[in-house]
Amino acid sequence: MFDYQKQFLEWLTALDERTPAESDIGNYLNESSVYRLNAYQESYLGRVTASLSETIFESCEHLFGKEFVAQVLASFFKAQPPTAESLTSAAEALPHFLRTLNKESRDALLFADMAEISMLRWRLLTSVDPIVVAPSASASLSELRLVQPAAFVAPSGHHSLERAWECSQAPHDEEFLPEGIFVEQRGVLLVKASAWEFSVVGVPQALEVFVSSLVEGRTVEEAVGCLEHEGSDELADLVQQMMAQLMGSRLLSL
Amino acid sequence: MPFESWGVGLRPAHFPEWKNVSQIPVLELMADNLLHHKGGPALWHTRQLVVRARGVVLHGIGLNIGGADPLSQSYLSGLRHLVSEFRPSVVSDHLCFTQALGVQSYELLPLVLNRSALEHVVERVDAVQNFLGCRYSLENVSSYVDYKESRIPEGEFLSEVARRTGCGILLDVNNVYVSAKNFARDPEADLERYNLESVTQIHIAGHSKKDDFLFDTHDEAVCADVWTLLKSVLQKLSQARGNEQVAVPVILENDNPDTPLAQVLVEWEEGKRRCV
Repeated sequence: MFDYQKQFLEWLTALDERTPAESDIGNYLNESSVYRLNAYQESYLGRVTASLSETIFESCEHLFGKEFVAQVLASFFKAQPPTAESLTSAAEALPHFLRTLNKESRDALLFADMAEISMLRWRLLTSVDPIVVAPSASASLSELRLVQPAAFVAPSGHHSLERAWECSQAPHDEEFLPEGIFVEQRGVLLVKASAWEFSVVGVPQALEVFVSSLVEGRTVEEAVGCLEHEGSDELADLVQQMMAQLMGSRLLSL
Repeated sequence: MPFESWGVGLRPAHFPEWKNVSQIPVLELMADNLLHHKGGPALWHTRQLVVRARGVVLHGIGLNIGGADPLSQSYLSGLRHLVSEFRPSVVSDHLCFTQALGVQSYELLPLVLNRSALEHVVERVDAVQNFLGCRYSLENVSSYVDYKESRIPEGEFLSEVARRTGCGILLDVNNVYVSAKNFARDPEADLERYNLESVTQIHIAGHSKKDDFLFDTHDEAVCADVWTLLKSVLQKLSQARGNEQVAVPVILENDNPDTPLAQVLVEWEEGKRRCV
């Protein structure tokens, strides 16, 4: 009863590379409309590439070009037909796919890195808004678990969620950014400080270990611990000051 | 015709432009755009706009009501959460399948419409309505291919599902037009097959021409024939309901991210004038 659905999906996801008339799903259709199957396949490929480019991989498109990104996504979904309900979740295996696809291709490896960063950013933008903490609970590091890192280029400063999001949608070019805001080309730490606000600070190169620890999923406390473990007590103090400053700015906005 | 019930589909590309609109009409929220968001801008903008809107309807694409795979509990749970938060007057998806053996298409794929498919869909609509605790509506889709084994016209199929489950019909006038034209049928005659008593919502949208057939793209202006068909539907609805005012939400869909909201709203106003 449902066999035609399996054949349709195989045709659509390009696993069945035969022409519409030769395909298994073609046998279920009246002859006069078989050729229109191509429209479904084109629509599917167009939808998965456009949806992902417009949301997660916009910066990849700026960097590598629309056509290249579309080709890469088409190859990826042909090799690994999506099973996740959410298209964005379906793309999570893309970096791994790119890294195993062609280890010699500089563009593929760069795309893999960019894709990973873009997805980190997307997860941040769609994650649970933290509960606003009472001012009295501000200073201790255990409360700073709300901090989430992202290693993408963002304007430094203290912004409303909406403004930070709008900025992240703009091409990474200074002329598109609001006046008075500059692009920090180094690593940045993006703090989701309250339900509607982001704080963004540039992180000195010396604190790379700290940022990497956050990106790996450690809490701020643990990341500071990593610095201390490496004998960088002074840097650990610097981080504590920086975080206290960030959380202070959050308190001012309450 | 109470135009207060008219509205547009809410699209992320239009979030900033809505700030400048003083009277927000009925908004159709795309369930699949919100289901996987736990926080952040999309939910924030939606919450801000919903409180200012005349009404809210919720529309999905990923339920897979006609598919063989079990209904996704996570999808349904997410949907129930959205229903609970936004209190939409209509909750809907499409009469189609979107996945098979776990592989997703993110497309609205046509079903073989016969007696066994009818039993299958009826059973699943019952399950969905029980789970959500509210009436569900199913939309007719645009078709480009037809199956040898299909035996029941889509309008009759949907009307029978509605009769047996109590679900509603989301009547997409553009889809009726596209499917009819693609198979050399009269759109008015196809409309006759729908039980208008069950219609809970109406969609109107643009389509484009692809080779020698029509394709439901939602990225063009609504064509004159489709506006005429909508006017006819509204008249029939009014007659079927004893000339009562028809308060069924009529939603204009435009999925082209490059179309400014202002342009969508102008088309929406012109459409209302055409249907007076």
